[in-house]
Amino acid sequence: MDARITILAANLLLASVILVLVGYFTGSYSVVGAAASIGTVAAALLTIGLSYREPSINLMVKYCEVSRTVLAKLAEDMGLTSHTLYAIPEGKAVTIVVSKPNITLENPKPLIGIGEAPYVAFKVRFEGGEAGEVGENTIDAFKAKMTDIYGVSRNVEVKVEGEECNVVFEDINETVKPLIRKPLSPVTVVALAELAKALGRKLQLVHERAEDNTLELKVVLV
Amino acid sequence: MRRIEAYTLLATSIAAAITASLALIGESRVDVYVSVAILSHFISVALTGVEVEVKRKAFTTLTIVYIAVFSAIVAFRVMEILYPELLEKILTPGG
Repeated sequence: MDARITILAANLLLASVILVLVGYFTGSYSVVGAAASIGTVAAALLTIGLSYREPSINLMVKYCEVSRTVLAKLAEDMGLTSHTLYAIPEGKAVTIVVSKPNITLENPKPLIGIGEAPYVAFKVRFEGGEAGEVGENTIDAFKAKMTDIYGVSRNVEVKVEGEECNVVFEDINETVKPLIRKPLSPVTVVALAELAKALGRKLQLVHERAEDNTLELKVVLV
Repeated sequence: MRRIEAYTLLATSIAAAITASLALIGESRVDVYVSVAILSHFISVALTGVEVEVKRKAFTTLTIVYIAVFSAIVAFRVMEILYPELLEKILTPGG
């Protein structure tokens, strides 16, 4: 959505409605016609303003799909057909590891390696503070980042119970929707990295469910 | 300048210029104003290529609606010339 164009269109639409009424009650059909013309342009501007999206987003969606295919193929070739994701915070970066569930990972190195099981690892670097430094408002900061900065969804619910953490993205952004499919959804990867950084703990993804407008993630703090 | 801005500038300029001209010559048929505004929209879209920055579904819906309205206006005007009796019969209540 482009807020400026939408507001402009809404104002034009309002002006056209007022002018139509003025023209109709004064019997001046030239005014009604001019108002109808303004209304037609305003309706087009409103539609375009509301459905506007940055053209680069299309490119990013395509690129994400291609990268995901490559990573998924790499994981598959390494015998990781039933894999899960780990997020390991290290300073200003988080290492995302694709490997078998419930294994102990000792300092995984990007890109591929073999520890207790074969793995594919990559680093997600962040600007700003060290992992786990956010303090009391950790979860709120995570939520704000996912909704306001990444624009993943309108609402994010986070529930931390002991060593388990449930994250539910509700009302997922239309543009992001094609990207929430398994495996290696960029939304899951980024959410996991952000959560690991916010909590300052190593995480393992134990459950992921994508459905219509909702994405549910269940992670355990390792 | 982004395409959406170029479109806004062009569509409003064309529509404003033509609407002002029509009003100055005392045109009172509302459908003329509407059809000219629709034309200004399509000209602006063709010149700026704004459709690449807009979600396809919304843009297609807008295009279909505008083409339908424009076609209805043109059909009405053609019928008015070729078959005025038929048009009068259709538009007369109970006719």
